[in-house]
Amino acid sequence: MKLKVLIVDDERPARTKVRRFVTADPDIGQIFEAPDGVRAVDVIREESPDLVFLDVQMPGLDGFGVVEALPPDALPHVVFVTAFDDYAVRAFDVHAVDYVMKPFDVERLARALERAKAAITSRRNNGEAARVDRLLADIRRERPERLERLLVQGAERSLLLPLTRVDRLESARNYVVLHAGRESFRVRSTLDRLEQRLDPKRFVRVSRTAIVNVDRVAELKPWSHGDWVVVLSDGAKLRLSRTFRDRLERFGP
Amino acid sequence: MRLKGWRLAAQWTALFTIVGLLEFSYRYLDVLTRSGSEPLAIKFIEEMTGAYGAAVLLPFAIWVVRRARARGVLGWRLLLVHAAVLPVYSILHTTWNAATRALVFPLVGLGAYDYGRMPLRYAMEFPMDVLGFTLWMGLVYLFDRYSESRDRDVRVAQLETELTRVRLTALEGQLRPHFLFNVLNTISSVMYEDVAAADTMLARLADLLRRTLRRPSGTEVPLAEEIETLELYLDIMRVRFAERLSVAVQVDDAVRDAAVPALVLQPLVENALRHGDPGPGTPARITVRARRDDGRLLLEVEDNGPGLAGTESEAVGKGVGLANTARRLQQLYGERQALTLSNLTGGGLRVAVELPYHAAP
Repeated sequence: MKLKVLIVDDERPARTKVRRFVTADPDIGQIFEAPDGVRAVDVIREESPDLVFLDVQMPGLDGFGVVEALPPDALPHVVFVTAFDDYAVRAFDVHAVDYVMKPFDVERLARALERAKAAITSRRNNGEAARVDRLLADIRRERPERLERLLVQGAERSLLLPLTRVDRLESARNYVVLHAGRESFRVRSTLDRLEQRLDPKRFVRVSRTAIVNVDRVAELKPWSHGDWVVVLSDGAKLRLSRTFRDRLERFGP
Repeated sequence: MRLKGWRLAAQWTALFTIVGLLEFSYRYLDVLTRSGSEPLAIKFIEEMTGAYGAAVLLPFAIWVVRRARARGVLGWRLLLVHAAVLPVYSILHTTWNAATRALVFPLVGLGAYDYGRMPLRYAMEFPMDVLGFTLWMGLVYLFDRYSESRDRDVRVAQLETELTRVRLTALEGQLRPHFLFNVLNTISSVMYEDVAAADTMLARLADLLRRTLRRPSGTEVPLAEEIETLELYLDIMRVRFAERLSVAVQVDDAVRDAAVPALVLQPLVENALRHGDPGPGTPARITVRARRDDGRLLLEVEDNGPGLAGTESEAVGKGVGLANTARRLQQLYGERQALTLSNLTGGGLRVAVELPYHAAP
């Protein structure tokens, strides 16, 4: 069976180079290319390639963001490609995730390709997904960055939703629902995980199940038992539970 | 700030308490030497009120003299200011002495205070005040001169550090490992398709590195030179992002020899490339403009990205390049420059730099 390959890099010459090297391999079938993270996610969802060469540093959604956006069972075998990132390279080594450093020569890429083929044929993919998961957790902990945009599923394709547009986030089982004006989007994540990556100056947890954009808060009304109600400018009402009261206090005088 | 004020006041009071005690010990020993029988309490109150009078009045004199100096009054004219302040100081000091002693003496059971004939008192105290005043103002002058020269040293040192840092950052910017390795990777890719193009890229990269390494110590360069450096950088970026990047550089011929800080444009363009991504499918469009508006030189970099979400200061803080640029402009031109960020009506961000226009040497 021939393997489907996706090459993700924001530079066309860089994609062409990988393509040139993998085309030579008789086991490789279809080759797809994506010039950014968002389109990479769409291609992976639609084509489910067996193997992805994934550039780490890309504008918008980076390589780690692509992996994060995919449910673990949809994650293909990934070979990270990076130009220079001391920290990421150490993390790759620790978690035994495959990576290639730019510039690379034909032999180095062939080696990565052989490893990937071996992993794919022996169906050790589950272990791989877990390793990538631990890698991401590591990287996010070491390099916490404030999310500015979040990848969501639009009607037809994925899009990066600017968080300034989001009014509130609510948890719903295994998902979090983002409300942005009249639209709402579901992402596979937990409020706890998102809360850590949101800008605390802009987003506040008001209860176990909701986070609000402080720019959208119209008023606070006292409720029963020391609870309060947060009224948003679009009229939505959310309970502010006592346990989370202190999160709003830093906005006080 | 408040705390500092209180501490200063406490130190000042302590200083004059010591002065008062020293003067009192002089008078006390004087009485002892003559085996006199004057009550020591009188001497004590007299000396302490005199010292605290100086403590209260001198700050006003110091304020007047410092104000004069700040307005550029120097030399013999500064002496005249002192000479004008001195009689006022002396009269107030003697009046203070009379008033406080008249107040304190009855309070501690020494009865009414007799300061003698006041007109003569004013004359009698004046020579003493000339000595005290001269001494204190001399000390203040030395102190001010010392702290001014220390401030100046600190400022010079700061400027030097900043310049070194800027040079290093510029170097880092072009030698930024990420940039360098990516360019090398692009060259190694292009090489398979077009040897001549790969060769050209290597030459551009070499030129760019050379320019950064041999940059003269001067902080300003002619705009034309700055544009050349920018073009080297852009040539490389155009190959890397051919289909996704279009850059237009529009520079009025009239401003080509205007002086600009070295490497002022590249961080702005880099910032536009990094944060001005318009999203999938749309090529990034960057426009660089330079023109003259009377005595001002305007440099603008526009992108068609998502624009600015947070506040302006947040954005400047985030783009490290922008924060560096803002600080450099501030140090080079003080208040005569401006770096502003504004969202464009059709989407995108404009970073504008305004400088005083002058021709490069």
